[in-house]
Amino acid sequence: MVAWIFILPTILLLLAINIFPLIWAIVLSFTNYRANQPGREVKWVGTRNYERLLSSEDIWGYLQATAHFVCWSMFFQVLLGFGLALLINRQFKGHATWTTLILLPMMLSPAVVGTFWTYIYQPQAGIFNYIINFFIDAGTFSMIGEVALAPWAIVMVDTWMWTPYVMLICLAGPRSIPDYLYEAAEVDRASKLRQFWSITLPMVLPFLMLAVLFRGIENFKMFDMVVELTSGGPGSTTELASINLKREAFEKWRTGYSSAFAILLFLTVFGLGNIYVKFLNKVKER
Amino acid sequence: MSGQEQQEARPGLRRWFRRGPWEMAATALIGLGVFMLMQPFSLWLFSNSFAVILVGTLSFVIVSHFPED
Repeated sequence: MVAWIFILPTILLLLAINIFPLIWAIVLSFTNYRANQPGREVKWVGTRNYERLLSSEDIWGYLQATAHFVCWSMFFQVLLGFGLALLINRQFKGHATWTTLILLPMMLSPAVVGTFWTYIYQPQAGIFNYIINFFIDAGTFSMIGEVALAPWAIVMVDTWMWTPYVMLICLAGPRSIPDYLYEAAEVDRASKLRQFWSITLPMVLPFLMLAVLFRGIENFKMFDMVVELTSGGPGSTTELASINLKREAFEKWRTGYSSAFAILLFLTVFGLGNIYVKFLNKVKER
Repeated sequence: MSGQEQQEARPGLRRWFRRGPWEMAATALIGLGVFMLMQPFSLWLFSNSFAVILVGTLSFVIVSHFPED
């Protein structure tokens, strides 16, 4: 009984800020409710919101843009983050200073990062164009203004910002590997490549998967940095699912429809989270 | 009693409803649903993705309560 009294505030808080909004969003997704017209009669529309959502080519496009962003940014972050973790793990002179410097981007606010990268990408005065033109004669181009380049521009900024985070998680892996494993491998005359595949990679894999889980879910919900950087443009090239969700909910005020969209995204993240946790547990058991 | 004998002696329902294979099937269903949701090839696949993810996720929640083996 005493235990229940102690955990009751937490349970009430969870019910109020997690469970109730979720159930309310599910209920709203079956109605034509508009939050800007509270006096309007709310009608039960059944699965109509879901039908419209899942037959819309626009929504399909936003989800493809999201997939491009999530897949490529995770690919680069894992590749670079893992590489940096192996490098920093070598404990060279000044590695602590380098670690701090590398970690700086992830300590910044995504809105700030989005804003200053718009200046870096600026076609006339931005340093990005200057550096590219220093090496190749690319002329004046806008990373965030051209349809072919804008999706890569947001991938690049997200990679710049969150690679240190992946590195930090991965760093725990190599540091937990006892030296005698490598010594035994040396005795067996295993090559460096063989040592990497048979010792380093399997030991780091749980940490890598954890990083992929965290970044995958976060990138699927990405909003602030991309809004500051491109506002979803040019056209709707970089309009990710979460950006469109905000537009539907708070610009067009189609609350019922946007609730259905939110449930779709929630279910996807929840399902993916389940898969990752399952595989993470399996890898840990090995 | 050896492991194999234990397996044979297990009641019918417990033998069929083991977590491992069912969880794997639910996981595959979720993965398929997410692919269908974000693939650039067919609107029909996109339209049916929600149902596949929903069935996969609900099944996962249910089968994760099945006995281990």
